[in-house]
Amino acid sequence: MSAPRDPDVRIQQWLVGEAPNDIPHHVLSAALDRTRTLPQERSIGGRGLRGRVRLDRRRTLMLVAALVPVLFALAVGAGALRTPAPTVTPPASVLDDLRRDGRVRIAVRPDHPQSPLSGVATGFDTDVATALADRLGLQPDLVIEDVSTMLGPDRGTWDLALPSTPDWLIDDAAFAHSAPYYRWTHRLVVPAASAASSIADLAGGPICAVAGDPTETWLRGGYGGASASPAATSIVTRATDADCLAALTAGDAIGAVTAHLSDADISVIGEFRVIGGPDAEPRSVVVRRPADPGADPGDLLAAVDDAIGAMRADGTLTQLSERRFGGADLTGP
Amino acid sequence: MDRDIIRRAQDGDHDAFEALAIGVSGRLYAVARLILRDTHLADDAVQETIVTIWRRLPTLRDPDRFEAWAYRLLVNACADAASRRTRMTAEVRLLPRATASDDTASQLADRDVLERGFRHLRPEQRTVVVLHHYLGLTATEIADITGAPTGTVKSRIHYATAALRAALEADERGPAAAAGGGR
Repeated sequence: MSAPRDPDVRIQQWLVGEAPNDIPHHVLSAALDRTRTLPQERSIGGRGLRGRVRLDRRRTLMLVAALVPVLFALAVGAGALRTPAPTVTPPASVLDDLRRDGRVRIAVRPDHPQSPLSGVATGFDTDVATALADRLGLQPDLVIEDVSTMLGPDRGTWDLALPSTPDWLIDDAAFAHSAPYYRWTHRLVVPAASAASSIADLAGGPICAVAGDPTETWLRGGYGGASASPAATSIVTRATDADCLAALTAGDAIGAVTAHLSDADISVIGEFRVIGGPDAEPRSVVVRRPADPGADPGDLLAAVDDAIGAMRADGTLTQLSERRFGGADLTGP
Repeated sequence: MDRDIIRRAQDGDHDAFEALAIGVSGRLYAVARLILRDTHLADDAVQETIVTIWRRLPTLRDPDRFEAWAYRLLVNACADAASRRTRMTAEVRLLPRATASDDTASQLADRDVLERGFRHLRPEQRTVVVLHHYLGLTATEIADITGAPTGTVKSRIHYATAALRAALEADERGPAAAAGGGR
């Protein structure tokens, strides 16, 4: 018997062949044993998973029993009786909710400042996410999501997000963000032999930028809320930093603004010289604003800010930055 | 899935939940093993998923969506397990190979090539490959499970499948080229 030649059939046949026939008994029985001692979550008001108040059945009954006489007294008293003023139930706290679970889902992007290692993304944000969860006293569940998904209309499946995108691109209506935990530096580079010493010397252009990157916005004006471009020059775009540097080498551009290359990367390449660049790009931790007036993320954001402050003060952020960015500390406030 | 069993399990009937778990756990385990390629991580991911299903089952509004919901929890658990693997890279080990006495030589070769190709895929690409090619789910169904936009899912299926096809084709070109060179 020979194997089918259709690649899709071969992929499917391989997956079927690799899949175990059943779950090992000890795995299933261990899971079922754990469920015997765990209460189920109950939601009140049909709100979403993260925003809801979680109570088990017994606590729900106790709550109802406690509320009945209060509601009755309020109804019949109608101001004639001096009943205690009804307390306004504070909105559920996202941080309390996470601490009940003991876990926090933190989204990081699969690309810069991560890079694939053994098929799994690893890098600065995964390090920060793990350290941040530790400071919050929570177990991290890292969620790898593209930025478009993370900050898209569905707003991803996470509790905290590290999109590594400039703060000014985050939709304030849907999200809130912490103080920056690092500031990414984009560099304006020219060939080592170029006589240019600032962007003004590149007025003739063209200058290359990675398409869609904030540096393209810098060249066109609008970076960080600016209203004007840094120099009147023509612009060419390429898909990656490597493509821009190739354009520079080929003479298709006289300068290039880096999107993801660190100073260490530029130094290793060795053929280019840095002559400037935009202000460093602030990058922060993001939380969702509630879709309804339910869970309040304010305390979570405050805890994140505190944790970032503590990690900056004790040198943790510096250590992680220097480890991932070729010795550079990009974590200044 | 039996709606009555799901309803009873939602109401806290643990016997009903056991029946439900037994019914779904085999498929969950197969998917976890395929995505993670690691027995211990798959064990953990499926156990966490079963526990989470129990805890959160009362919040499931539509019992007809139980299976998709369970796969969503599993995919999240696998992502969590994959992130743990990142932190334990030194402990990652290869899975023991299952015996397959009726394998032809070419199927064995496919297995090696696809295994290598699969390990080079990103976790989210592995997930869509398994959900699409193993479970036979559409991009829309996978989007529902993973929470990613349908277009993103289609793109991931396309690129991941293309990478595996390319691995197969490159492997075929290798021996062919060697044979041609001997002529």
